[in-house]
Amino acid sequence: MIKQSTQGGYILLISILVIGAIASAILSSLMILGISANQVSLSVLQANQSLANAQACAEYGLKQLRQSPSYAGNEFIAIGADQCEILSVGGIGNNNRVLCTEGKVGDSFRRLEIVINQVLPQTKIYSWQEVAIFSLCE
Amino acid sequence: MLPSFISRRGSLLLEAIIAIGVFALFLGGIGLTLVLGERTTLVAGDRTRAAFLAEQQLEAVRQMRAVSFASVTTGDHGLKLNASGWSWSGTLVKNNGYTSWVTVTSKGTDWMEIASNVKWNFSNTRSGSILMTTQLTNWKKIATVGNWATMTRIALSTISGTPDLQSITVSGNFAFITGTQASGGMGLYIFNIANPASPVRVASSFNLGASAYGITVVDNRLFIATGHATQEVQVYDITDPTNLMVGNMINSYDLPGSGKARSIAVYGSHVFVGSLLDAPNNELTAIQMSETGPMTLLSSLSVSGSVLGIALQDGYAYLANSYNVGEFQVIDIFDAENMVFAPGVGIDITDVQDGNAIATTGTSALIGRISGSTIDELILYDIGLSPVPSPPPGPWTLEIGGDVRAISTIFGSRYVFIGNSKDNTELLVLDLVKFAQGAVPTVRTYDADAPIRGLFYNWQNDRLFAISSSGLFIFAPG
Repeated sequence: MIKQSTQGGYILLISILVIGAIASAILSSLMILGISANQVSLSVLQANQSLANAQACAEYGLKQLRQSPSYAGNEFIAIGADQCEILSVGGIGNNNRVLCTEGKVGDSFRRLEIVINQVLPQTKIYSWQEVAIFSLCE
Repeated sequence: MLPSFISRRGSLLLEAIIAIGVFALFLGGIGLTLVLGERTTLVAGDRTRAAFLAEQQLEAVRQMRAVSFASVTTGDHGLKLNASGWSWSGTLVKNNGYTSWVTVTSKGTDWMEIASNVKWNFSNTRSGSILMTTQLTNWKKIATVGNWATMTRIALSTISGTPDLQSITVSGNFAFITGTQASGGMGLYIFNIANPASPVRVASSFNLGASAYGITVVDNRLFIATGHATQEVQVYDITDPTNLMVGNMINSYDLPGSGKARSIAVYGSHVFVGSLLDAPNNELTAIQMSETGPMTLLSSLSVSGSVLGIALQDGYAYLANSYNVGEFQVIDIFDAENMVFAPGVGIDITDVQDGNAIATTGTSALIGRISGSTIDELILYDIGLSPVPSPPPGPWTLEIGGDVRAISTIFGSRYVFIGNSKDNTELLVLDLVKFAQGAVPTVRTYDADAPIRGLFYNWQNDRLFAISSSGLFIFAPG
């Protein structure tokens, strides 16, 4: 009888430990998932904002080029609480110009490379693409 | 058995209480973790959806701009998608628990800042807001060019004394004009042209202290080629042209020789200066502009003659040169630290008259020369296939009957303006298309009563600015 009683207690204890371990693993996963989701949403927000910043600089750069085809770039533009950068504008004159811009928010960088066929009288874009690394600008 | 039983009395209850307590703590932990984990995931999801909503709003406004920049009006706006695209819808839109709107503010002419706002409040612990900002400009606008075949003069302002005006450039609401000091001139004259029909001279007490020739503006920097003995290249901050002072000179460069700079062009931070023939010094110099330190030499090149005009296009500098066997030269300036002649070098134009003015537009280069009885003073080259022309097609020539002093083009337009010294026709408007077809290109002449020495076409208001030795003329198309 004594032996039987002792064995029953161990079963309960081991069951509790196993269930507890499984529960802990599930809870840990839930917590990690929650934290990851939080980080992802923050990254999405920063990535979207940095792209919006890069686009803002592209818009400003195109406007400046139209005002003066000798516009050199190399400046930072304030966008709300952030800023974006226009790199040195490539090419000379009214045709075949290159405009590169970069937006940065937190750890997120977004970069745009724009090749312009013609500035005036109507600005014609040959390509407007997001790149990981600039290849047409210094 | 009995003593043992007695010794465990109460122990069972205590164990049970402790066990229940531990279990309760365990359950509480589980519950809290579950709630926290779920809440964190939900909050993250809320914010992710809001981020996409905010981005969607920015793209919606961008689409509206693509249709019409004028439709992007200032104020708070909600957005809705119709069959024809996005449009404003009240001051905000509520959808699936999110409240969203954009705030449009003007940053200047044809320049808007778009703030995309999204708010949500699903419960006390699931509320928040995000703000995403971008800017839009009206760079898609087509610059309109009037009918310059019927141009009219809308203003003439004369400078007293003997300013001996040389060259003109325009930036924003101001025209900057150079002149010599040979007869008491002040070197630089500035006019407020906010109302082109009524230019007003400003900073009239400013004296450059040297004769000035070529001039150009990049952003808020005025670059001047001068006859100063040790500061041939001068750079001024023109943030406030009305109060320009000597102290606004932010940089200068001393070219070899003394006071020989005559023409200037700027690309980025590279300044290209043309000088009078002055052996053994080189006549074309590339200088690095600096905002913080002195300007530095990049390279220089001997072109065997005085560089009286420079036009930059597609990585090449086109020179109007006095060299008798190379009046039109092309320099490869892709690497400004190592300028070299473009393949083919240039053109030895008939006879020996100096190349005096030059301009490029699209696939055309125009060079004007000093008057000669046996030559046509204006030559049009096709540079579409190679920077150094290789006719045919072209070249096409036009008899001007006087010195060609200035050439100005309109980007992407068929019109070109020629300033010259021929009596009664000192200003010509030419049609480049007709010129390249071999037809008579002159569509308008203007009698300025004095040689036209400098020209600047300002596309922003479709106006032409011209100077004689002492007058500023402003023209408008018909």
